[in-house]
Amino acid sequence: MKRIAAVLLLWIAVFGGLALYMKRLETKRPAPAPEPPRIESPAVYALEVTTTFNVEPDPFALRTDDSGKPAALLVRIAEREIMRVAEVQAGIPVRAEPVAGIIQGMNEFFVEANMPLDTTGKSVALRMRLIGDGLPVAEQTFWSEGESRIAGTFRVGLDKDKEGNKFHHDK
Amino acid sequence: MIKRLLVLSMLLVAIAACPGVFAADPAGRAQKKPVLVCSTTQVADFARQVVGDRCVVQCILAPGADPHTYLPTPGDEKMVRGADLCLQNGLHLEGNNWMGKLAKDAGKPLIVCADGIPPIEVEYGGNRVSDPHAWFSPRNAAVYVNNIVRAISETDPAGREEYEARTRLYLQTLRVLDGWIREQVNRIPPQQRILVTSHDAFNYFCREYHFNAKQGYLSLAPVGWSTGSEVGAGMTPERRKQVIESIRQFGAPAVFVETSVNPKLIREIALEAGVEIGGELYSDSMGKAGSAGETYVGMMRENVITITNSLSRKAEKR
Repeated sequence: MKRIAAVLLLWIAVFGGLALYMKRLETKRPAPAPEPPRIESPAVYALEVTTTFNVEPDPFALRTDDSGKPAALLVRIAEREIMRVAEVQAGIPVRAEPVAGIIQGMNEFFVEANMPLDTTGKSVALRMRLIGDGLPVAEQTFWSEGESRIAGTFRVGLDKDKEGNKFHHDK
Repeated sequence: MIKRLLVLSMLLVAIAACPGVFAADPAGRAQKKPVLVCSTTQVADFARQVVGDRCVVQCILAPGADPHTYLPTPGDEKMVRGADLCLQNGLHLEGNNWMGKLAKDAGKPLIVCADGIPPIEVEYGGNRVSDPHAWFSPRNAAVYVNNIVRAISETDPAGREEYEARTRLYLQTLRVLDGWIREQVNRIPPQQRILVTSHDAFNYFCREYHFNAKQGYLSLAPVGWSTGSEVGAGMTPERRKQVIESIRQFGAPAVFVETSVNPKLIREIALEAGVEIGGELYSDSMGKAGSAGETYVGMMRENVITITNSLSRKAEKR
């Protein structure tokens, strides 16, 4: 009987000790650093997208419901959609205005557009322009890479210094 | 001795009580996996790409079997009775609706994977028939896959995220496959893009990749859309004669046999028309396990390589 009691005691000691150790590790973990404050830029922004091809819905999109056509042109900042269009004509700019949520600091616009499958292999382009208070702020052109889809990230850094607004964008 | 045994058995009980030690599935998932029973090899492959190892995917047709003329066996009935979800191609590919009947008799839900695809309608002797071989265009394959992911997500909602993640990746694979086919086909001069096969299975392929311009971008074959006995199916002497004339008139450099169709007829036609056999294509069924055509992507890749190698070689000779 003594042996059984000893085994049980050993069992409790080992697992109890382990549990206490794990709990201590949890409490010792440093608190996450607070996020820097997001300061919205005061200007009124518009986003303009022009393509050299007719933009069509993507036949290879995941469609988990039957609701309408999938987006042919989609622009988003993180998970927030800025622009979602089902069809776009070549050379005709599509504009979203005003674009809310532009912050001082780095802004990333993710863009994806689908071209007709017949144009696969041909070189086509998509131009994005950010316009602030009616003036062009930044622009970037994305080129296709032989696929039926253009996807890219348009990065625009908005800094406020003593001279007023100063913009830069990463290519 | 008894005490020692007692201690040992207590230890074993304690170890067994630890979560996960004797569990077959480390994630603690239920043992019973949903069972999907598919009619054709293509549908089964699409289903496997979507569900991975989360479900059991079974296929009624063996590689190389003909879905138009297939007669279900008692074994198939048993298989369908054990299904949580049945999947078929639709558009009458399954001759005399054999899959629909099996699912109905067993009282199982049935998904038609080709639902939502605008069918190519072909006229045979005054009858208009929808061509069921829609998977020959990767953009239609994307519709099959989307129909499957929707259906299985309803059957097993807990796995929805997993299914959608796999489907997203597979759809990208189909996109790349489509781009690659266009690039390969582009090696053949447009006037040399003549595809003559055993039966009318390649209408969607011809239309997507611009083969058989003089035929209105449709298949050229001695046997109709089905190898069975449905309307517009089978072979007639007029049709045979017309194909031989078309081969000569269009200047087809080669004809192709199909893995799931008896090659005798197309060989006779090749001999009579004085053209070569360009190779063997996967059509109504994919290849055996271990072969290059055992998956949809592999089957399409092998077909395109066979077609482009044969037709571009002939184009160079001219």
